[in-house]
Amino acid sequence: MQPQTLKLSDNFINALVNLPENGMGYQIVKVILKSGKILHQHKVLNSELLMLEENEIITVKDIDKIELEKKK
Amino acid sequence: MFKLSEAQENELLNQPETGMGYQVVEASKAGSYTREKFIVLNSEFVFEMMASQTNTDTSGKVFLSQLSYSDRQKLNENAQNKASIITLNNMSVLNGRQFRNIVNESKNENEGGAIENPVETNGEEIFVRLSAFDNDRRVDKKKRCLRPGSYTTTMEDYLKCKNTNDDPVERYALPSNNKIKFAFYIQPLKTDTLQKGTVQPANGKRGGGKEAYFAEGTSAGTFLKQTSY
Repeated sequence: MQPQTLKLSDNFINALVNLPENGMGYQIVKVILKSGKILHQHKVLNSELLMLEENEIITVKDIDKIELEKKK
Repeated sequence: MFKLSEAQENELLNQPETGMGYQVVEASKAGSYTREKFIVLNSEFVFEMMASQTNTDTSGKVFLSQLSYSDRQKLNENAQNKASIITLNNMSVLNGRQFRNIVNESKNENEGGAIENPVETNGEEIFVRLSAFDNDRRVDKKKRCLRPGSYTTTMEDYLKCKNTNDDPVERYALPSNNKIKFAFYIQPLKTDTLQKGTVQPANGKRGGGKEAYFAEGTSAGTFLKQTSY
């Protein structure tokens, strides 16, 4: 089954485009929600599509910040 | 050692084995977003696989044969339903080829990922970036170059992938199963720096293709053309 994706808004896309990739066509990020919850190790395709886990239901409005996940 | 719930056991029963009597599963434990590897016996008993085990074992059978006596004892106890239940989210079962490839790719210490390798320059070689997106955002079509921090593969590896009918999603360990539709050709200048390496297993995919990382991007005019894949 294909994971759900969330199309990010232009401000997030423009920020991600200027950050390095983790592999061809994707970045591994930490998504900080306005609620304070942090989603770790999420992937963003083409700096624009956030891949969500099966049971995650969020919208772009729920996102406060997106940062690259620190490398282990 | 853990045991799967009946529902998860049934889920695994409907999926092929990695080898006789076992499945190697990539999943995240409940409450964690980190993907880890587990070996599941009889679609039921779960062992966490340590990185060292995936690096040194040549097959799941070896791993199984290395189970300690106490583990075997526990396995017997598990048979009596004494093991605690573990929930594994988003399970994906590796087939034998994927598992073997993970093991094999990890074996060669000289073939690390691109960012682990030294910086070099090249003024002749052509690199190819594969993408599911027509508007691949790492390719700056105005300046006709790669943006800083972008990955490609080598032309040689791209051709190998195509000519052997390999699956690029597996070969380059891409996180999404979206079909690759486009190829972007880049020829960096002598002044452009890059790092070459081997795609490491990731995202439940085997990797093994060649990758080139351009930390600083490429100079204007180095994007040659875009074709369909």
